[in-house]
Amino acid sequence: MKGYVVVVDDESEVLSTVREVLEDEGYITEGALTGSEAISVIERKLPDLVILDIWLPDRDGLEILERIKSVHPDLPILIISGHGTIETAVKAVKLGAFDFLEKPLDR
Amino acid sequence: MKVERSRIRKLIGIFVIFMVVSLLLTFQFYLEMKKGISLYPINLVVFLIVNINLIVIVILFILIARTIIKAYMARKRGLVGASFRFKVILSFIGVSLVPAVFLLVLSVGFIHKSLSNWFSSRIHAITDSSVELSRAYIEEKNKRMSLIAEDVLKSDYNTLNNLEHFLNKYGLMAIWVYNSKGGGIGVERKSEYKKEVDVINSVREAFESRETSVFYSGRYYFYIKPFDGRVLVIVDRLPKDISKGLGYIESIYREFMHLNKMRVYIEKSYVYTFLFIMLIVIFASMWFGLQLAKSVVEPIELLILATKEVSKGNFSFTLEVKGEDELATLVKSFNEMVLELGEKTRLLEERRKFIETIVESVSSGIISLDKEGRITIVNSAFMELFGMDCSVDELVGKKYYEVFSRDNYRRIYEVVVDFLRDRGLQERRPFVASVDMEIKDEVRNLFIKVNSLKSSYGNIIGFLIVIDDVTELTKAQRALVWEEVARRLAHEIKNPLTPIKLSAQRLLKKYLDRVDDKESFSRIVNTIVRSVDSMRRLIDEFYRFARMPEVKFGVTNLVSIVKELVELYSLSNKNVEFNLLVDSDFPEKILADGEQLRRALINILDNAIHAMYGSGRVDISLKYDKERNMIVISIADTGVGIPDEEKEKIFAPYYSKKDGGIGLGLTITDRIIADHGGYISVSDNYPRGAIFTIEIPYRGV
Repeated sequence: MKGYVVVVDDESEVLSTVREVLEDEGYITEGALTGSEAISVIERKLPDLVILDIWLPDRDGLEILERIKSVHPDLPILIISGHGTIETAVKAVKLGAFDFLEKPLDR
Repeated sequence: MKVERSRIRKLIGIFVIFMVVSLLLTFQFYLEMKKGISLYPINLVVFLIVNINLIVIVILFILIARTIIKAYMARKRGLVGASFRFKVILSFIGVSLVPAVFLLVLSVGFIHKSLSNWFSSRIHAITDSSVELSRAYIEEKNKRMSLIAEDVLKSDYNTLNNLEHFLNKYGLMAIWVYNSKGGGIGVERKSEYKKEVDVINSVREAFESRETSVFYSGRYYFYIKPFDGRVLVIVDRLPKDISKGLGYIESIYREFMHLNKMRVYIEKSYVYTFLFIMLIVIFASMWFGLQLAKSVVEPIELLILATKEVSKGNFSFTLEVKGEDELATLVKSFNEMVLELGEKTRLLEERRKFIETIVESVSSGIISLDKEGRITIVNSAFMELFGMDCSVDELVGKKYYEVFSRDNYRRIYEVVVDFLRDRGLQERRPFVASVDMEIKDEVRNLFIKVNSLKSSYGNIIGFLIVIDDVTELTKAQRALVWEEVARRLAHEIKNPLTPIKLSAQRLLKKYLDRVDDKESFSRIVNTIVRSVDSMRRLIDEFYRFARMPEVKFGVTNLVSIVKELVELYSLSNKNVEFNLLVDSDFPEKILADGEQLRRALINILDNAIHAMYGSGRVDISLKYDKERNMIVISIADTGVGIPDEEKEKIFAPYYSKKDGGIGLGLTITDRIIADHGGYISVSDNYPRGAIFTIEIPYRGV
């Protein structure tokens, strides 16, 4: 088993595609469409990596990032965004994000 | 000078009157003398009293008449307070005249009656008969004496015994016989006769006149008769009462006769005195009235003067308060009123200045109209908004339709008229309208608010129209909305791109081995991937435009930016010749957003190179227009040029001639230049190509 990855994105299409690509590579994945769902998924089983969309319907992705980081400071979190600006990227990294990827995602 | 002259005139007048009066007096004097009236001292006094009275009366009368005429003339000329003065004088004269005339008539009548009584015929008869009585007595005495004298002269009058005989016989007091030498003989009743009267003079007269004469003195009667060169003097005694009465009657009679002659004068003197007193009373009351009128009119005159001053705006004008009466109170309250009025006016003026300053300092165009539609206030922002080149004062007082009915302002006119006609007079709420209007060939979005101005009683006294040019605001608002739309759009479009791209890549990875035509499969999938990438770039460009940052002014070296760009473009475009021309007085450092200007220029250069299909010439010039204080950048290319009908459109969004361009490049450039307060325009280059000219105001460092 390569690892357990939680993918958070409000777009189910994006979510499923990303999960399928990762599963192709042999990762075990779990998806979440909202911020609160993501938090409960993470609480159920601590993943090795979280891929987090910054634009979520219920809560700001950065807020979710902050919350996860406060409980699991060592958990690597990858931020994906559709409208990445340098400020959000810097802010995300400052909050402890592992990296910042801009959509559309590439292999 | 004027005062001097009138004084001299007065003096001359008095002198003339004096002369005339003296002449008349002398003439009268002369006439009276001729009539034979003797001028005893008493007569003279009466005469003088009569005439002095007359003079004074005439003078008083003239004075009174003069005052009345003067007051009347003043009233006719409408002088301040003249009417009041005239009325006061007339009423005072009237009030004093009635009793005075009444008294005058009464007293003149009384005097006349008294004098008539005094000089009545009965009194005449009494005096005449008493005089006659005394005269008869004397006559009787004379007769007796002449008989005695004849008796004496018949006898021997040279002997004392004889004389003694007669003395005793007739009971006489003395008998003397004087000779021509003054000597003579005589007998006297020594015990009773007291020689009180010297008869020598009478004797001498008798010698000369040779006529018998008679006189009485005291209680004695003297009979003097000349004869044969001698004079006989007989002295008899008068009874005590008769001797007194005779003298008294005689003197009374003389006085009476004299008075009778002077009667007219006496009556006249009384009448004149009364008349004089009456005139004095009238004069006094007139004078009193004048003073009263003066005491009333003078403060009123001052008040009128002060009111005029105050109405002219002189609020520092205060009156002196004299006395303690009602007028003083009036003046005092007037002063207070003026003071308060001045204070209020000052406050009002301050407030007006304050409002004026506010009205002038706001950026909204403000115009206010009164009920008749006349412009009362207009600020310079309003004038500026509509590009009016007349002064504010020119508009104030004009009717609003005279100003707005011109074609340029028709829309405003319509809005205002709509408001005024349809609801202006009833509507309590402000009326708001957003109007697009073409002003100076530019469509401006105007926000018009019409408010009715109400007095403190609630009735409408005018309208206040506030006009805001919200074009820029609308633009900014639109930009904000636009940015939000762009953001969402970018997000919504970009989001599905991820599954498309990832799926395509997955297809390639998962199924490449399983398909027969591997080459075309991978080409097709890669087309999808490339198209997704191109779409992404497109969205990025669009999004960048939508959220273009505001210009940040900083010290910028425009020349070096352009030089850098020229170098950069020369390297990548070997077939394009770049020429840069910089004016010697071009400022080295300006205040601008260098980064954005660079972007603006890049967009133009990109277009130019694109229009030349990669070969040609680009001339860039940097100039400084000192007169207009403008920096002028022109970029001329030798490309295909821009047809006239498209020149206007090229700066609008989504106009593009480039493949893969979405037509935002020049729009961005236009916006950057506009943010710098400048303009961009395009014209034809000769013989071919286009010239882009950027003009931005020079801001020094």
